[in-house]
Amino acid sequence: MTSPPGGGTRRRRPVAVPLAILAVATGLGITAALGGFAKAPEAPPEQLGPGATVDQKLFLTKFVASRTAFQPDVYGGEGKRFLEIELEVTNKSDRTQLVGSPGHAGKKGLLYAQSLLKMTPEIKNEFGPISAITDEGVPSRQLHPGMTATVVLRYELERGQRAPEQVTFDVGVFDPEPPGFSADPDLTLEPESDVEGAPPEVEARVTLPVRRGGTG
Amino acid sequence: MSTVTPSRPGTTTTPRPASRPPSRLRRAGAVIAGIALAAAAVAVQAVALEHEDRLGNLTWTGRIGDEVVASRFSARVTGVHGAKSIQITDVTDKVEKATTSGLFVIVEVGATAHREPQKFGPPVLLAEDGKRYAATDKVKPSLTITHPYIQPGWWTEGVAVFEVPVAALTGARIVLPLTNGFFIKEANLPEVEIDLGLDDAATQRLIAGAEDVYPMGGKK
Repeated sequence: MTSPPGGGTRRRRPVAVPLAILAVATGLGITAALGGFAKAPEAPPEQLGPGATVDQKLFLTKFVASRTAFQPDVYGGEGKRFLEIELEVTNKSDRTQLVGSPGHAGKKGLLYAQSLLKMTPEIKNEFGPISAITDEGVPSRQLHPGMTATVVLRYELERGQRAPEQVTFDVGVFDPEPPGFSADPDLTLEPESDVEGAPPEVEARVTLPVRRGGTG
Repeated sequence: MSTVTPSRPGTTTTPRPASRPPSRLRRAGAVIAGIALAAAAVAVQAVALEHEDRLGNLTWTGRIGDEVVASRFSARVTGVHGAKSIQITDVTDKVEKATTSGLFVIVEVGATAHREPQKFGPPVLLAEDGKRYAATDKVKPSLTITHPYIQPGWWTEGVAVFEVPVAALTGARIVLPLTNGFFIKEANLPEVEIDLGLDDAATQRLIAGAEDVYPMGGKK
């Protein structure tokens, strides 16, 4: 553990550390010049129309149509008018999921329908939309694995309120393996970025013309 | 920094400095111990219980016809039927007909409690590939086994109704859990998992023998 005897050898300059620092600095400089470590900006959301199908990883959703509907009042009142949106939803996950409700008036939605992040133009009403599977005799709110169901969203139109010419949905995608330690079977949307609390990524924008059912 | 004059190579008589730097052997030992501790920490993470193992139910298993004895109740499956639609008559004689794109599976179950009355939570049909089908919401819970209290002393009979694609039938099992508190959840509740005995032939018989309309409810 002693230095070699005699002083004949030239003293070595410690170059390894400065060289390493230089290499790291160059690497960081190039990374920073190319936009840093942030996720590269994704392609803008796909613009889709009626009949389009969006793969949401845990679900497959076909945007069938949008129309106005009238429900007469059985007690002789004026009845109610609705804007209806028809979806065909296939559950690709491994358990029964519930339809839930779409995002509405700036609030996040619930369960499956939370992936319908936003509808433009917004239809303002007190209770928000109703969503259910209505074509099987008895209304249901379940999406069973491996099965396709027709889900109808209904936005009630107030008296004198005209239905829009067309509606556009911002559609998100579910994360099949959400981060975190708990394997809770909650449905989680893929976020826009890795930042904590980032809004959900908009995978597609689907525009449906509203077909008028006579009373719209 | 020591005041001792450096000894020439070869001379060993000079006393060593009071605080000598740790020997290489010791330093290597410290590094190995550090790595071992870090590896142990990672290994401990791997044996930590999964969510399901920590809070999931304790399951007793059996086959169709068996009396499956769990810690707080016993249950048995007495029959399995298929149906293309279900006609539900409510107490006011209003008739509704529920249809499905798959097949309705009606499982006849009976249960008895051991000491205290018990109540079932929503039953699940567990397919062979691990997919979980919750009992259909097209049939009101008041018409199924989840409605009555399961009492000690006698067997309470009822049905569980599922809605599944026909491909999920072969090898399916029914899972009967107990209801859990709404706010305070009890971990490791007992449940029974009963194989419905649907091999390929039995599945074919179930599909072929599926009734067009299965009546439920109404005044008895």
